[in-house]
Amino acid sequence: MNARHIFLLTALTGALLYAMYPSTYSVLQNTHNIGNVSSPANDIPCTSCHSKIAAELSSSAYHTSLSCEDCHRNPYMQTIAYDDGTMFAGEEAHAAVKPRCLDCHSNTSITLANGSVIAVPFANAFGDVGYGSDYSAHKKFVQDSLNFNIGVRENEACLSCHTDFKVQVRFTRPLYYDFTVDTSWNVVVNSLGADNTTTVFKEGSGSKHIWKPLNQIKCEDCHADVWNAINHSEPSPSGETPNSSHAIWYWDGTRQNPRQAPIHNISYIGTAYSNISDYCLSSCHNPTISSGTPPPELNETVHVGRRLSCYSCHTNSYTFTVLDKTGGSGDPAWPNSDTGDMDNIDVNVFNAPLAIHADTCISCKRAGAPNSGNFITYSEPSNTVYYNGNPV
Amino acid sequence: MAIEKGLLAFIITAAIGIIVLPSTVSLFSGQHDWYYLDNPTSDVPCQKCHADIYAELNLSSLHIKWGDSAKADTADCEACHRGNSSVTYTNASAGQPGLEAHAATRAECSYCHFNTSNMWNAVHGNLSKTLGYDASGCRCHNPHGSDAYGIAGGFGLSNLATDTGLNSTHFELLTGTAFESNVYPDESEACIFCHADVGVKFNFTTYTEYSLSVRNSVTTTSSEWSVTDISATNFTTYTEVK
Repeated sequence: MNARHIFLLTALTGALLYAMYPSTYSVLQNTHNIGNVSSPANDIPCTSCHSKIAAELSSSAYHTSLSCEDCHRNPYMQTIAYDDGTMFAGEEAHAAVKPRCLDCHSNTSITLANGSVIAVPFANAFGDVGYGSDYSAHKKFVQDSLNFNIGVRENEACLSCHTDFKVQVRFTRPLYYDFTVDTSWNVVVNSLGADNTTTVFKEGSGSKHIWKPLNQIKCEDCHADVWNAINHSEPSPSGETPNSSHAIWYWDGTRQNPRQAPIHNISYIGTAYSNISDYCLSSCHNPTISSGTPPPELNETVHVGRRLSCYSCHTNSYTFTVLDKTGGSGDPAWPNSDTGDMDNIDVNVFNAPLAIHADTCISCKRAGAPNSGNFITYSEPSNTVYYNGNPV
Repeated sequence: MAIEKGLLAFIITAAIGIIVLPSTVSLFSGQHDWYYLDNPTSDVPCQKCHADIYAELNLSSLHIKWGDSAKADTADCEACHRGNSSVTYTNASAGQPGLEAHAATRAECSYCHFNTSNMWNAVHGNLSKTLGYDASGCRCHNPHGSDAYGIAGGFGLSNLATDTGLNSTHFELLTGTAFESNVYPDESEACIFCHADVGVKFNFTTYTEYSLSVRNSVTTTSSEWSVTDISATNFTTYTEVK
């Protein structure tokens, strides 16, 4: 094709475009063919504008069998504009609602948009009135989410853990705790360090429509600071404990006590404990009670993690045994015969803030179990401990 | 070579003809044949200039019920574009010159669909000829027998008592188009995006991260964690084309 042919084609095309343009281009184009939305189903396909969400949902572990309408246009939950033979103007929403996770998960079954009933997992504790027991570790997170309006109600809390959404958490706590344990086993807080903020990033795709399998929700994703304080296998500076962790694996020191079961030993992660989260829960924050009657914080139904103290297990006020995945079931290392040894520190300690309960155990063992003294324990992510001014 | 030159001449002539011929013809045809608007039964046919819109409307099952309910016609145009009761349109047969508008106004979806009193009772310019008159103004038909039909509830913007709109996902789309765009009146763009076959390109900018501030409030006797802030962060932009 030579230049002349190109010129000819350009001239003809230009002329045709000029002639046709006014009738094909209009600001009103395609605006007067209003879709009929009177069929019982949703006549406006959500995915025509939200294909990215649809693609994300297809990668989700859960909710893939649901339709957009089951969550966002479910007439059995809220009144949106719909037509099932009778016309309904919307009330809470027109096209779609912002669904609340607990709309479904505070129940054991729900009715889908098409009227069929399915079973759904009940959110333990959080699905109860008032979000259930106060011993759920994350109850405060759920409650406080109500104060913010990015998500519906408490959805921010649900989505933070259960989806691939990114989360950045700035934990602010005292840099250290300065406390004394006196000869009567009273714990007295002397002073607190200045605010120290540690930022943790939970990575992810940033999608709220990719729900993670429950076994892929990792405690350490949001609590990397705590894991950093725990994950120390090197000996303590004092040599009194075989590690410098913020969770004492075991301790026999110079005392006569039999060596304790290594329920808190992180070296069992990957064997007795399937992963870090299993370690966090099974060894501390949601241990399985093998027998007996534990205190309420170990007995009440909670949502995954428990808000508790070392002394919830290590107490002689209750008689029970805990499943130790590293070696069967056992008494949580506070034998009844020990009452004369440490008196009532398991009771007295509850006059001190919960934040330092673990520090009393850790610092005491790191110092070689003195009968009294001054301790300074640095907060997570640090694992530093001082006893009477010396690092231990 | 001679054939090519002939072809060239033909194409150039055709191209010029395409551009020039229609206006040349119209210069001499029809422009002195005025519509007789004093007759209440006659009107300016909107589709004369808006044939494309007429064709679209004819494909729609909605908004064609005025006039001949089986097809689009001028009555349907008037229902929306000469139906604003606050506007006085030109009406020659009534001797009424237009005040706020001459032939037509831009239609706001919300004019009817946020207002139960107007739904199917919209006043057609008070002086609509095609639709006729009655004592209270020209009223729309009520073909569905229900004033509630067609009310766009769920945004908290209609006059339905139960329309709270407290949990609507698309509310921001309405407010955005109402205040940030003037392609169509008020929030009509948002309505059309979903309810019409118009192409839409969305550039979504959305957050992908919660930024949480949490604090352990510790005293000498107690401690408690609390969430002091949750913000949306880590924004990203992506495009959807309807």
